[in-house]
Amino acid sequence: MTRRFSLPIAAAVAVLGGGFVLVSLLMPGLEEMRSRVLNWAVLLAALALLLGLANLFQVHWQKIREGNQRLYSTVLLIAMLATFGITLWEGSRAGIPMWIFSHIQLPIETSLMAGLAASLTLAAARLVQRRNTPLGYTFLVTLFILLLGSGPLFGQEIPFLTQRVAPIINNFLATGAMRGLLIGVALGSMLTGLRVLIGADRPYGG
Amino acid sequence: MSHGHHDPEENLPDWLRALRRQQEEQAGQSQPAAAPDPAEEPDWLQEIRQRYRPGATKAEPQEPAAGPSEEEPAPALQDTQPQLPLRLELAEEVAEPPEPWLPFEAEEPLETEPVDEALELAEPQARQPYGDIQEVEPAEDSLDLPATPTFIDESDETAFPSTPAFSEDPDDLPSEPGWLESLRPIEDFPHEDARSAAMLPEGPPQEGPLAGLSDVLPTSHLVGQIGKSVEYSTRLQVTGSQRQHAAVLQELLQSEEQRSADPVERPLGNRLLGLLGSLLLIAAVLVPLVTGSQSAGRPDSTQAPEVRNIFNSIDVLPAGAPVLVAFDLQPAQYGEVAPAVSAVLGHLLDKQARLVLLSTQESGPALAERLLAEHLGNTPLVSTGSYLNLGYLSGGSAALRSLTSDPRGVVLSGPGRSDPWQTPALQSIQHLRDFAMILVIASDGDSVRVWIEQAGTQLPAGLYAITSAQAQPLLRTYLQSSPPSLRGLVSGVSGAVIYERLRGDVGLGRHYWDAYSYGLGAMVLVILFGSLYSRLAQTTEPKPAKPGAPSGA
Repeated sequence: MTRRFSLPIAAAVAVLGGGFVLVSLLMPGLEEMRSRVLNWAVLLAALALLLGLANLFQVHWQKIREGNQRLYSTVLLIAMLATFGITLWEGSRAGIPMWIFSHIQLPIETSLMAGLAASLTLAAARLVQRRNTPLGYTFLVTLFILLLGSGPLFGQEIPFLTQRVAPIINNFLATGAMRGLLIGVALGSMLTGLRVLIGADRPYGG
Repeated sequence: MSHGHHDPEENLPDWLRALRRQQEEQAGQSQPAAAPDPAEEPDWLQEIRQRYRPGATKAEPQEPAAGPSEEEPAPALQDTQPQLPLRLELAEEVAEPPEPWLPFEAEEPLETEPVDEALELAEPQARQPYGDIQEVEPAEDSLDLPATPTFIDESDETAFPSTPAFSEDPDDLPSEPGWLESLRPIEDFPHEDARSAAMLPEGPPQEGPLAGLSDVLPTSHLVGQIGKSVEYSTRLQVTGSQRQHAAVLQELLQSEEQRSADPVERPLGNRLLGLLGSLLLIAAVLVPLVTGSQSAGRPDSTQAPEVRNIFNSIDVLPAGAPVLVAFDLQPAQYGEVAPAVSAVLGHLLDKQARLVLLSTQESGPALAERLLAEHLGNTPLVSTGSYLNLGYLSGGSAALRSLTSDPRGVVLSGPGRSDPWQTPALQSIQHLRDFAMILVIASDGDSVRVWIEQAGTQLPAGLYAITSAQAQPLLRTYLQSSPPSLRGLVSGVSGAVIYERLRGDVGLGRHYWDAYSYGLGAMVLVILFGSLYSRLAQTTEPKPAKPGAPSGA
């Protein structure tokens, strides 16, 4: 019964809020009220981070109780609670939080990115074996040209590729494709916004 | 102001008074109506009767009647009688005009006895709840009804039979003409009661507004359904062909899961290719970094006019100009973007710009602090802390819109309890366009796109960006627009090297440039030889025999 009553209220709040912000962008004199409404959204987004933290704790606590990958969940919960408590106590710019960030989070994420680069290189090397199609060969040829035109190879630059071929691909082919992609994204964003405004889409759970 | 008692007969028109007199004369000829016994009447009623007696004066209204009066009560006294049922009063009104052919008096009630009898036959229980009404009806019986008119008495009982309005006994039905009898589909009608179960009398309901009343439609089940919407089934209406397609898809998914669950037997060549490729990539990147080689030539700035634009814009900034730096960077791209950021921020610090840092990413403020401390810690403005870190701005694009329209009204996490807008770097800032430059440092193109969409139109000085190399194809569209939504861009290690070359400096970009060049060459080699090997292995691989094909000659 509660859900049946809450759905129209949530939809009404979403439609009215979105409609007001849209109207305030078109009509002068509503800037102050719009700024207030947007600040509400900012505060709600900050609160959502805390809710996500609580949800993560609940999920892994449940895994520990069920004995499902107990070691990983225990390490995660200890690290999470320690980092959260220390940062809350000392502040985000203090020594220990900055040390945790610089010596744990930053190297891990950077290493994952380096591993991704190596994995993509090896996947491209096996592309012919996996996908022996004209599109696969087209992808490989384009990739070669862009890599050769990105800079000097082993210290030696190939001017024809770096100054002639690569700019053509970047400025015409890639840019044209990106413009089409952006137009599609813009139309999709407008459509999504209109669907939310009329209540057809309810990404808030309705 | 008092209202004295007056005779209602005074205001009657002459024609009505004559008509009433005529009726009284006619009533006097017939049997007088049985008047109620005055001895049984209460005193107050007798007083009223005496007051309105014809011939009695207003001076003696108090005199009680000595005995039973032989005179008829005045018509006005009828309002002192018990109220007759409504249908009888209506009958009086209808019968009141003195039609000469009427065989009975206007004040006499209609003959309703046959109708009552029919009602009692049809619905014997209908009168039970209205017992109080039945108690009134003896007043009707007390009236002496006139004799049945002559034309009714002389009528033939067989020609006008007294038929009740409703009778369940088929024998009670009068005989019908033959043609009507042939039209009546008697056999098609069920003999049982055709009323629905909801209409059948079940006794009075025990609850609700109709509690105690019988022969009413039961409303309990109707009340229970008020407000209950129709529920449609959410089950898919699947046809046979769709069901077959779903089965095929399910088999495909199961085969994929089974294949991934099975241990993969990779060929030795593939394993060697992966191992050698990984070793080559690591060596190509590590050797130049360890040796400090700077053999690779740096690219020319003419190949990147967007880098020159941002250099020229910073180069003309006055000392002390406020510059907003949006640090929307992810830790994964920190190593790639750090050379370009250190080069551009070093240029800004050399121009003594007042840096105001802000981030829409959670890890942005920490990354900004680390970069300033690690690469620009020797500059005077950083070492003395002459910059302002506003911290994290949550809310994504909505927060950016709020920041654009009202920078002082946004909620920030960085400065703590002190008001950052009272610091010297921000005292002159009322709007976002008051900053001399806005520089967005981002991992991907989408972050810069959001800044362009939300704030780009309100910034006459335009936006500048430092990004990863992967964002360049997307942001190039904004660089080439007219007027340009993005004024300048430094992307990747190559952009950092070009910027350092413009400044005549040797920095982190130059240090990484050889590793970048050798790593790029290693990638080309791995992909080239890996593709050749894959093609060769594919051609030499024995093809599986087709099912049903002949096994040999």
